[in-house]
Amino acid sequence: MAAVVDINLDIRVTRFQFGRERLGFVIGTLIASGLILRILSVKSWRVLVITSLGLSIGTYLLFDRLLGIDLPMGMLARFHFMKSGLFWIF
Amino acid sequence: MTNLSSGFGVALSPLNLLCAALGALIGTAIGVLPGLGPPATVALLLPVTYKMEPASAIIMLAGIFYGAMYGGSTTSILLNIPGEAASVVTCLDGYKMARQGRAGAALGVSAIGSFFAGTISVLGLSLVAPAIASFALKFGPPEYFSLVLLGLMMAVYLSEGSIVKGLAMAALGLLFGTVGIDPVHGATRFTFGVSRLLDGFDFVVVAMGLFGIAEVLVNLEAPEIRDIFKTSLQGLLPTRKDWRRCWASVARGSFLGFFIGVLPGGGAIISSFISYAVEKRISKHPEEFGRGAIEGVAAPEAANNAASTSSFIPLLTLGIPGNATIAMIFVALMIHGIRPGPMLLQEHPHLFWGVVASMYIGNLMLLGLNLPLIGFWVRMLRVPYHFLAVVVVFICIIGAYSVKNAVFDIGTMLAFGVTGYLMRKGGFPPAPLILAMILGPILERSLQQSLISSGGDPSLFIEKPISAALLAVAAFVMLTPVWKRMWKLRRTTRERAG
Repeated sequence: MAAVVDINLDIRVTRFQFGRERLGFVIGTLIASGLILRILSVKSWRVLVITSLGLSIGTYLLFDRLLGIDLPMGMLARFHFMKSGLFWIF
Repeated sequence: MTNLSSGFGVALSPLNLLCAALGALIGTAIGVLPGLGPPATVALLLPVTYKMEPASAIIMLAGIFYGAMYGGSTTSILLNIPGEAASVVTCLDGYKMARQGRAGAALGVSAIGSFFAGTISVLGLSLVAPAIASFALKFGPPEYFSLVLLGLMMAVYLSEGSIVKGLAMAALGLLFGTVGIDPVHGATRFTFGVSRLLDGFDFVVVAMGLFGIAEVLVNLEAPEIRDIFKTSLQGLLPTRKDWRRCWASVARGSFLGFFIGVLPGGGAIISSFISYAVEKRISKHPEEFGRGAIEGVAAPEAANNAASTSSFIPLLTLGIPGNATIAMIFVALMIHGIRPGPMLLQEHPHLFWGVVASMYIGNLMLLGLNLPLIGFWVRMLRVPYHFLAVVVVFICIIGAYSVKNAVFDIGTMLAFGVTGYLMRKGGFPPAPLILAMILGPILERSLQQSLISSGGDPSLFIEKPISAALLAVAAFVMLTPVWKRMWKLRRTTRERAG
């Protein structure tokens, strides 16, 4: 019974979902920005990949790490150990 | 003057200098780039300022506003594309001058004219603002109600487009402003049982939708014109002959811009149009206007810069935002727990004077920034618009989310974005909506307070002299279109008779 309630909650709260796990901001932005750029007729795959990677990681670094806005990490939250230590400059 | 020197102490701290430079730089960039105006940019940067000191935050946001006025002229002159709305008039003569190979003189005169106007306006601000603030301290709720009503009327009347559409948007804004819990009685209004709406719509969320998303949608439709006109930028400095022709225009533009900027609903856009019209009327050679008259560049550029600075006066002294960008700075102050109004000068003197001092410094920085970097700004225009569009969309999403860490707000923001897009398509100005939304709760609170104090008797508003005068002016503004039409009618009948 409890499991059913939990799934409902998940569906209600998040948009990007992968199985029972949420995609979180970085992966969500990566996919969405790629799609938007494709719709806005960016043809080159290289440009698409580089821009959406840059955008998702860049906004994450700027807003979450530097400016302290807590962005939802979703499935990437398990890599939280990367937040500390020498992994990021910030 | 001791106040101002303490303000310089605040503004000259390394962090605040950096903020002013950053604001000026971002402002120039978005002034150059068409498709992202100052209100949208300030809204986008609000989440960036959450963790900043309030003074630093306002210094940066103010820098964006007046920086955009500098940057806007560059693309108007070189490409005939106004980077932001206040530079539309600059296209008329500036682009013609560039075509005649005098781009350098046009850019030079607009940068130096802007600098002069900005400085004059800051000087005016630091002289006038304390007097207005101390006068406004006498205001009770009835006076405040009338003042806010007048401000709202002016904002509608002076907004671009038809007055009826402006009024409709203001009414809609007032309506949106009532969503949530009634500030006096605590009743819930228009929440439809949605608990997320109990706090009402957040201004940041609405502004990001109306200005950020909507602007992106509108601009994506427009075909990209990136026909960069190759011209030598030799001789950036105008000749002595140019100066003799236009120094008076710069001075007139500065003063005109200053006074129009103080009016609620006034500001950079109208002041540039009016000063162009004035220059054309009093010029000895009006036929040159539209064919590359240097006065037609100097005066509006000076005016829009002066107005962008002086429009801080009603915000910082009365707590009434006069245009959309200032409304965003109002929101920024609220986020930091500072209530703009007559008390601001007493409660936060270091903030007030720090911001004023940073404007002096910022104007100086912009002069240094603008002229040597013109080549860089022009190159930046080659970046296709959709990259900017995607960045704006995602910053809007982060911004809306960050207000309350709620996905609900992202949905609200997107809904307002689509609404804003449809409004623009129908020629409805977005500025009155956001202004009414901000002023609505203030208006309501002062109305309720005055009615409680008078025991429900509305004649209070007419019995108090200041309030009565303000209401009379509001009524006059409201009826201006009627006077105008009557006057026109009488003149045409007289002409027919004679």
